[in-house]
Amino acid sequence: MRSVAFRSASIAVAIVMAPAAAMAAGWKPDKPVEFLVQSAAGGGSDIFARTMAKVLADEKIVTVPINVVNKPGGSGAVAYSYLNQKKGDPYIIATATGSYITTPIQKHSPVSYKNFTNLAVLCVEDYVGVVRADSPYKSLKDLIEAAKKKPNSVRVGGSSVGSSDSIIEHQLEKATGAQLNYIVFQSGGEVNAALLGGSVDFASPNPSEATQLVKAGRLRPLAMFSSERLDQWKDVPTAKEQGINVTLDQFRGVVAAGGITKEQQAFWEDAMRKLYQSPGFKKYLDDNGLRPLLHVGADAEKYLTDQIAFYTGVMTELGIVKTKK
Amino acid sequence: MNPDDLLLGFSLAIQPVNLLFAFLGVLLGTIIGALPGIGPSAGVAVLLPVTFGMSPVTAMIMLAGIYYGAMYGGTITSVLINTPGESSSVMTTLDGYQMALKGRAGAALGMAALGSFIAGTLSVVLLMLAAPPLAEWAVTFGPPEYFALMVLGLTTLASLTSGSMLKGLVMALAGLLLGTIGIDVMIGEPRYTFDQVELYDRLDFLPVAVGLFAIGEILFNIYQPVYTDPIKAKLSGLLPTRQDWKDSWGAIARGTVIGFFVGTLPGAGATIASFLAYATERRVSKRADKFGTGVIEGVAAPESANNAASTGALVPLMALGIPGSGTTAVMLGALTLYGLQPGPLLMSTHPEVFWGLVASMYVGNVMLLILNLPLAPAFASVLRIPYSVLIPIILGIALFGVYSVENSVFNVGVAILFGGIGFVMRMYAYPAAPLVLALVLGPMLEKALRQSMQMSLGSVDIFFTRPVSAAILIFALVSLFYPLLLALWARRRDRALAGAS
Repeated sequence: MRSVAFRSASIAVAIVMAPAAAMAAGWKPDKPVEFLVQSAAGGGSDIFARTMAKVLADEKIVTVPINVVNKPGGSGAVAYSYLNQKKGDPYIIATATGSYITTPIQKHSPVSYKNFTNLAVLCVEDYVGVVRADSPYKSLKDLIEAAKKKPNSVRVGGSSVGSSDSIIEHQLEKATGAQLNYIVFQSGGEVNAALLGGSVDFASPNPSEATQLVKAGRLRPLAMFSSERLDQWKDVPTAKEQGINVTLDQFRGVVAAGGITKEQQAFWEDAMRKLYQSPGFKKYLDDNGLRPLLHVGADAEKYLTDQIAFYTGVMTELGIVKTKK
Repeated sequence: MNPDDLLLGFSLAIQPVNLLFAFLGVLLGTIIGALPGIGPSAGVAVLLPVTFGMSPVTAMIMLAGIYYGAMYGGTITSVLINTPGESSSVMTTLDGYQMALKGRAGAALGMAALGSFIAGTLSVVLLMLAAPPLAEWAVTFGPPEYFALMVLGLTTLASLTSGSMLKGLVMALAGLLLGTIGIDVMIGEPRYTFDQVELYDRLDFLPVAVGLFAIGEILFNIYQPVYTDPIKAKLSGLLPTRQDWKDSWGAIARGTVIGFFVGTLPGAGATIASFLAYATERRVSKRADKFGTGVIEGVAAPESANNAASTGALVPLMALGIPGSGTTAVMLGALTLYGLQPGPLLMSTHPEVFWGLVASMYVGNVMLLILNLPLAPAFASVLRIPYSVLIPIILGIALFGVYSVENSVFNVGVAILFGGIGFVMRMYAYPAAPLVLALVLGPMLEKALRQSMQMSLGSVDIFFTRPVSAAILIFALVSLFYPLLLALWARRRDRALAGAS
């Protein structure tokens, strides 16, 4: 017993010491770093990457130039296949969000998180259920009751199958037994337009996408799909509070190529920690309505495997993942 | 509209720093537009970090300048080397390149600049006067209305190019088929991708267009020279004439109206706008049979329309915070980065952003005209270079452009493959425009159809019970059969006349 305790204590010390040791040993990038983005310029991941690149430089966390490179396509498959070719190269890092796990689950990508060094999860985005301001539905319950009375009469707008919108829709159906009519649009902007124009009755955007339309009295929030109420949306009850047990959020994080050395990994993990603490990053979170959440290294990997288990379950039920190939 | 608002706008727009960045924006926009590949949305995104230290007004002035400046610049490669840099300039190649072959590239470019200026300025007036109500109108367009609009577009597709209508139809169908490659948007299943991750997001427009138009044309020229001699016209002969202006002003006016309204629709955009404008011009023209052989209104119409559409796309962005195109989506992200909250309240909480932008666009369009009119003959003189020297330059620019969009070698391969196909098509006079347009329109049509079917749970009534979609569909039918009816009527009248005599 004693020796086991002693051993784990010494491992703990080693873990605590590791970053410090790495800094002393000091691998540091000495040429420009590529920051790969799996979606097109101007999207959420792109803004995340460009803001991070700026903060990392401004705070002198990384002293070499960071070049943001977009390789959109195949919901991340193109970018991560490219990252996989860079095995052992510490001069490239990449953004990761929902598609990082959902695309491999759908078997639409030859690579998955196992091929990479999962550096950190840095924040999560929440979802809010909204209807038009003149909608007859005053609560999530109303909406569900209507859908139960007349199946498929409530139209739900979302972007792509396998996206967070579709997963919320599916969870709502599963939790309540109601049947909703899910209609796929190309982007959040198109969903908002369809909602305002009356083509759909309900949508579940990120709070940041809905804030202004709610403030202007055009949309009414029905429920928050977070586990607790959000500070900026104190008046909006969670779905859970309304007796409908549906929660979802989506992470944003950073990964590196597989096969990099411990020192290189330690440098990047340390950089992520410093970034997370910086005021510039805090401002980014506030501006974009994101919730801070930090998981680094092995922690991040644990977080990802939990998410994968959850998504695999939901997506199999949705029929997106075929049980037989 | 309150006149004070516009005054506030101009007081901001004429500040030296804002003038400077408006100029930089339109200059960069022209260059970005002229290079095939880097389109306005990538251009705006890449230059976004440059604007971080600026005030939001200055930043938006510059970004918008890049956007509408790119619409001016996009004409250049379409006319000179038959290479549309964006899908919204495909229509320009039809008559623009033919004009270049006849030594009238300068006139085409000059008229495109004039048309863009007029369309740009008039659309800013519309944006200024009516953005909020127009945005409300635009969001009432649901999937059935978009479906009707795409049908209207497709019905005119086969007849767009001169020559055999059958060949045009075959090409349009080939384009529609190619448009089904990629992940099915509704159920997420890959189609015809053969496990190539690059194909999951559809066949890109640009490599196909560059292959079919630019590379195909080069190969054909090597096989059977079209350019026999470098153009020897004087610089003064490279500007539009009084007759050109007479031929074009109607096209510019119609192109502006079509472009602006189609541009405000979040699901349509500049491609459909330029396309409908060209088709309309062909319908109303007295010399419809000459379209595709180098008539100047065939350049003026789509160029005015795509410029008006880029301004139209700012309507839902500024009035509702809803992006109407790829580029405005980037601008929406930019507004957030500057700490502004885009949405219905932006115009009242931050009037300086909207009005500063509007005022700067009047100024920016004047700058673009001053920049582009003298540049027209300068660019046109490129064709004085012997063709054998031009070939490697064109190939280099075209392939670099294809690579740069997504940093993709795969797309370079696609361009080369379609270059070969384009050469064979050119040899047997199969038109390329219906193919690339169907490639762009097909997925939009499919999406709108399937969304509508999902909305109505499988009933086609939805297209005819909604007044706007019904009206557009009826119009499409009439425009499809109108030439036929006209011919029938003429034959009957001839027979009646023959019988009478």
